Amino acid sequence: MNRVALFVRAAFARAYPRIVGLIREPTWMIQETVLPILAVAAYALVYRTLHAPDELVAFVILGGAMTAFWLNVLWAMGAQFFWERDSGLLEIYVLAPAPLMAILAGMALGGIFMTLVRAVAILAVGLFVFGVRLEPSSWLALFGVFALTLLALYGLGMIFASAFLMWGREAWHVVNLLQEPVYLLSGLNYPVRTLGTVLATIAAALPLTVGVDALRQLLFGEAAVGLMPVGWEVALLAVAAVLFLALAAWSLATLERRARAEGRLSTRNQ
Amino acid sequence: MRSTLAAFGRSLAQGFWLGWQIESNWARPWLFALYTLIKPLAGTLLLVFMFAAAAHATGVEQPGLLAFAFVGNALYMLVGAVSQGMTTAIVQDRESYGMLRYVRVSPVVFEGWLIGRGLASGLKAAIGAVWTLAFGLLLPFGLAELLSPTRIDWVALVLALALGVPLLVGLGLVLAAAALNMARHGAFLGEGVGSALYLLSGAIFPLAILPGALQGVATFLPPTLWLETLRRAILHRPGPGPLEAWPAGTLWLALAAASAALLALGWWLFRVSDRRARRGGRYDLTTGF
Repeated sequence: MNRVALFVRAAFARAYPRIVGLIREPTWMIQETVLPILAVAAYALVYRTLHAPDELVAFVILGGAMTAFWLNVLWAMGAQFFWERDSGLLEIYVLAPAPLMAILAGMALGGIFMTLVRAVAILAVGLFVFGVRLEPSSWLALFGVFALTLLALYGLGMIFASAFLMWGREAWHVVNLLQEPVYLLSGLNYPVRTLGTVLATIAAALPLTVGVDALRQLLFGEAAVGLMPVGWEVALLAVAAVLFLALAAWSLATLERRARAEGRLSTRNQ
Repeated sequence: MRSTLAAFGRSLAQGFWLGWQIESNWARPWLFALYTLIKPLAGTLLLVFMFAAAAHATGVEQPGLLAFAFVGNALYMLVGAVSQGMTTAIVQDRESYGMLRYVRVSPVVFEGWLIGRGLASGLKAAIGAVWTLAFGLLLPFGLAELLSPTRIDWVALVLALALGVPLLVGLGLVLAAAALNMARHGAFLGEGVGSALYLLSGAIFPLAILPGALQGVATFLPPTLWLETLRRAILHRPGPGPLEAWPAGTLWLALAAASAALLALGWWLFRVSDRRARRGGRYDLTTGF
């Protein structure tokens, strides 16, 4: 089998249990849809209490949907090898003839499917409960920016995954730490400019910040109070996607070698 | 009776010690301290920036409501932490470390040990909450004045915190009882119920904004009563919403009754669930998903 075919088959094989698992275990569906809606609703109600404009409520809804992808990148990509090592599967992945990058690509594909369910549920609540209106200037541009954002995010997730090959329990805590501070800096619930110039500039290094800001500008125009023109944000996302994927391939190869040499691929509960 | 209480206390201390080690010994102390402080602070600052964005859009600053949400959000961390600590202990010790069965057959008082695990998580959250409230003194939007330590009714605060312990433990026992007979995803139960209560306890917004029936249910939830009692102690005034008109005595009485009832319910449910788990062989269950 040639290398491309092997890569594609391994990626689909890894994506399969994530997609089928969602259907076979219905309680996951509740966890994936109802629970995230509750937190998003709480933030939306804060804006309603403050009689804030509808656009800010819409920001919360869009931010909630994109949060789902960030969480998926962190927990189901970044920390996944940590769980796999704990359940004894990581050794099998490394022994298999498929490259680890293909396994990660499969996780990303399956993860995107799982997370789309969550994101759609959040958007549905936004549309039907909070009366949010989505009228993008261009659907094509919107989907393009969304896809580019996911590419950059999941590339970053692959870098995390390779780093976590070397780590033990601290991986779990680091992933935890990358939640609230990133929500804060990405301006998921408010225009990034609210952070002030210095913080907003630092935040622009995160693909989530730039992606969400571009999506908002395409959806809400002037009301989005964008950080920079959409064209610049698209360019930043494209550079980030290429850079992250290249870095992920390199770090995965390097750290896998190191993890083998230090015997970290099969250590559990540490 | 005395020896039973002593055994319970020892088990609780052992559970607490183990829980604290799991929470803290993965990193050097300075890194752990940083982690404990940054995460809760970021979560609460998110709200501050939301209020700033709304103030910019409407031209109206609402320091009273910000203080209400700021205090509610900081203290709500305790609600999630204790119950999450207890459900995670069940699932993690059973499925990841494979030690739950050994703990169950050892001479510890199992409930005491589990409560200790939850309280260790609670302590970490409490450190984060105190730090967040202290950081509020440095923030603009009128928070510094509203959160000033001189305004706090310290006696009421300590009493409310003490009454909250059985409430949080009761909630944790209810969820741990459910997780005991669930597969691996039972670990998310704490998180899920935590999210629901975050919405329904009015942690970050006055309950008056909720639709009628939901508001009625939310008003009488034990965490709602607890947060209102704590807010009154810290901010020295009732929060806006359906509990605003409640006299202090009624609120205290309702909180005490709710805490006692939840603890009794949790204890009973956990006993029932424990019997069921032993019959069903759930203590050494490895579900793998």
